[in-house]
Amino acid sequence: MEFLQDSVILSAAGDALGLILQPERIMFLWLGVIVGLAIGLLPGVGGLTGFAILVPFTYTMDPYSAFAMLLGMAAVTTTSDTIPAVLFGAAAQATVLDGLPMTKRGEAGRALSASYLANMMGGLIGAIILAVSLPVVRPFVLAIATPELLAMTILGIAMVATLSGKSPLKGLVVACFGILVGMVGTDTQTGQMRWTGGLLYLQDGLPMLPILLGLFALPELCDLAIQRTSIAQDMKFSPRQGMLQGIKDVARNWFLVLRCSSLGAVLGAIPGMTGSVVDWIAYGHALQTEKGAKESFTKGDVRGVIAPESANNARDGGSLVPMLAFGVPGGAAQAILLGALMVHGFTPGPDMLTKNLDLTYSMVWSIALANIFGAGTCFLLSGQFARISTLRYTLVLPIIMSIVYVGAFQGSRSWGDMYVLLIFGLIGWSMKRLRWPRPPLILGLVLGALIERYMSISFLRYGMDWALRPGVMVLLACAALIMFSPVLRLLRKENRAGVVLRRRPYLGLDDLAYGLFIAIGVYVLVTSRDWLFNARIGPVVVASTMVIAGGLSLIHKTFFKEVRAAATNGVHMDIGGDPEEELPRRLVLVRAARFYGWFVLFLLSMAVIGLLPTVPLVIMAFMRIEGREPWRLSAILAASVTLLLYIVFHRIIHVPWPTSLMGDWFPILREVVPSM
Amino acid sequence: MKIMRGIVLSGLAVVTASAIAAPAYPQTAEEFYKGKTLTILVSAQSGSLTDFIARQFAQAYVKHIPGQPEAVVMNVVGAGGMVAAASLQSKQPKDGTVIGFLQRNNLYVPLVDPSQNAFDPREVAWIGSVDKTYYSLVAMTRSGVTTADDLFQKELVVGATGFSNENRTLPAVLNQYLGTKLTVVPGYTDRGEVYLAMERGEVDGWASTLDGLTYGEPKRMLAEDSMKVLLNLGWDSPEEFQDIPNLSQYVTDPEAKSILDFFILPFQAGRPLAAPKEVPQDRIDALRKAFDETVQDPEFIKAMTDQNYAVDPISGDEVAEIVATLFATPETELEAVRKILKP
Repeated sequence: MEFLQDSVILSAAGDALGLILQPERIMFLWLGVIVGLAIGLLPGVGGLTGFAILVPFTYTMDPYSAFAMLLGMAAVTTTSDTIPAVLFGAAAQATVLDGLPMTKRGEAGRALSASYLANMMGGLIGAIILAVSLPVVRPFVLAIATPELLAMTILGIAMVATLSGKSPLKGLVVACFGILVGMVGTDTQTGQMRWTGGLLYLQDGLPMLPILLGLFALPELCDLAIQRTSIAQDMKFSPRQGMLQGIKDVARNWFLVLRCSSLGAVLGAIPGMTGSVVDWIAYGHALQTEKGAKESFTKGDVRGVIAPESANNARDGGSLVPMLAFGVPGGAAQAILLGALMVHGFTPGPDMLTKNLDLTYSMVWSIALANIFGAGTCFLLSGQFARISTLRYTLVLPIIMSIVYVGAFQGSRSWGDMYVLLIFGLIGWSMKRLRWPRPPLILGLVLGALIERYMSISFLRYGMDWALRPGVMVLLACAALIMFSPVLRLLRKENRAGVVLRRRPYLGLDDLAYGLFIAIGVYVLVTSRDWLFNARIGPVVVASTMVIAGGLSLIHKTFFKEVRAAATNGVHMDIGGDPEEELPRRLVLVRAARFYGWFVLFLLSMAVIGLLPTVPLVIMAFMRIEGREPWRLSAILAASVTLLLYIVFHRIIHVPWPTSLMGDWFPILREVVPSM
Repeated sequence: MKIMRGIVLSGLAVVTASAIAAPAYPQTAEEFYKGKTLTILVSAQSGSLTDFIARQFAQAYVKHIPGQPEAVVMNVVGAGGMVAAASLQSKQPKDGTVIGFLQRNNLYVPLVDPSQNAFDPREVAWIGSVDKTYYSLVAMTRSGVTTADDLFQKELVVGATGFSNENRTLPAVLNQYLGTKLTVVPGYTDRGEVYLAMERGEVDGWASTLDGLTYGEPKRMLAEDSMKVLLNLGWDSPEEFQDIPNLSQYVTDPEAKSILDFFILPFQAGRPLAAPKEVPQDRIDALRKAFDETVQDPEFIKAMTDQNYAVDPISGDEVAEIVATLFATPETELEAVRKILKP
């Protein structure tokens, strides 16, 4: 019987391949891939926007071509976004941690080609897992109820312990901060407004995009402005050498690719597990299991690039499971896909696994082929991309800055996004400089919101019994193991020996950060006093943990000091693990102030003349003043970037721009100048 | 370079001249809209059902507006549609080039929640509403709650999305004023998650829109009788579930009736459109007329039915009437409503 089942599936998969290999379908797939690659390069324009742009064209296409194009687009947006991550560190992906140091060493070509190959393998493995599991996946998904989802998210957040490197307490504080940031807004269970300050903007919570760009992209750009050099001084590899080395790296780490791809595919099937956390969990997994990773990660280890990138693309396959098997879209982008399915007369759900199996498998093939096309294209170009890293900072910086600003504005298309970007940009830079690990913040931010939601459902529905379900117990035990392993390691004798009591307590200016985090914790405890119990319990638990962990860490730092090299206790978990910078502190601060000054200038100009007109103005001003670049070059660059942003955001996506003073004074200008 | 400057300058001159000249002579709506862009603010995420309807509507709508402007749909998301509504009322141009595709909760939320006063539904010109919304309470057959009467005898766990969503407030009203024994579990992100929870036995039912029951999984579940419609949450039963009881059979107490009315009345204006009230009257009239024609447009109706979606319009005046009725609600009743909506 089972054999019969297998042969049905195999023949459906074979038929589907035949269907997809029609010339015009392949062409549409290509088209989708090209759009997807372009979209991936711009922060703020994700698969969701891609779907919204492409779907209207698909109504008149045959369903196989339509889904080939749509999935081709969706499958590769996570491929090309590696470029800003690896070359500039301008992204909040785990790939940054090792990709950027590799670029700085002149190994951008190697990092890029390795990550594209990992992408491709991940995408293929994800598609295979999807193909194999689809026929049997329904009972599996039905067995996972909210308590199991809760336990899985807790397992994810236990990764904080790993992603905090050698400072687990600091990591815990930061993770708690992330969770608290995620709690701003309306509580789903009680309707309680939490720290919204009466602002409409905060009612739905803080948008993720400007937070992530602020935490990771701005600090990197700021440091580029401080260093005043190109990102890489010279290229270590020729394009061809870099590609070859990348192939070797992926081949040597095939087992890591397999593990992380499977992890990505499984996590992808869980609704709510967005792309912004799956790669971090894969990174944490690699860090825990790979030999020597605890010393070499964050310093430019190629395995730190391969792990998150393979998980990333595998996720797309996994995320189709709930949609195909149950008709449940895993997020807004898939809701569009679901709508498109129905336009073409298909009913998502059990039918997709029986009656329409060939369409389902044509979708799997589309994902697989798109990964080969997309990653293949990027792979072939990786050597050329790598050269960007040797460009002068005065060319790179103003362009990326403008794109990041306009990208952050896509968070909720409101002025609030720009403030959030600025505030988290400052927080991110301070954290980087003061050596607080930033990755736990992302885990806290993404998973914290899920945990609270799942927990409220679990308690309401199952009471205390939720924790007694067998799957939950297993997952929670794993979480505890991961969570407490650093503590156990610390308690081991040989590690304790590395720490001695200080002769006199020491407090530095840097320790103000502790004060700040503890103060935030106390503020939370005080302000939430009058809330309903159910809206308060989460913030109170998290804030208390934050205050206690912060206090303990501060006491430890004040009274003890480490006498031995840090290597035994792991790495500093952030970009630029061990800075070799020699600039005087004063100069650093002046240049940082200048960098953020440019941002403030951008905001002022945006308020007066509108967002799009500000872009060329600020690019030209920056290039002339900071770099003394020639007028001609400045004008050409400024015009090209503005034209790109104008076409993508104004003409194609129709972004509602904020109004500007000039537009208010002279409404007629608004009709001539976009976004004024 | 000189030539370029000349072109730019003369261009600017033309623009300025026409700007100054524009208000000088009376302009018909057709002259106004010719060559212009009509921006439709949609208060829903791109890709959502509402966004889809808005985009389909926009394409058909502009064909009926004199001068045939070009349609641009902009998604302005946030605070349950309040951001879009507030933006329309205060920030957008008031010449008729921007209208809003709003949500029905915009009609009453400002009334019951003083913190949401950035929008006043009495201060815009209503153009019409594309559809009416009906809710029905459904339950899995395995729960043993299979008729409306069972709701008063047996407990039923129902799922819900957000706290202020109708699928949470309606069951809460039923518990409070009819004495049903529902346990409401809010916190699911969307209807898909609720159905998944229903299939795996985590919850046993929920308050669904009628539209949502006519396609996909729910339709299948109803057909194979693993799920049943128990109660229509309106004063009469829709065609599809004609033999299922509705609220009029269960509600006798006048207070309960008027509270329920407050929640149910806005459903008549399922997806309302509005323009800023400062727009010149002839353009408002043109927009209203075009609306009335669009909802009769066979092409538009077909595009909608292809998506299992029924056009069921009311006029702008009717929307304004609903708003007036809601705002005439006595304060004591508003207090009772607030208790349901706000913790």
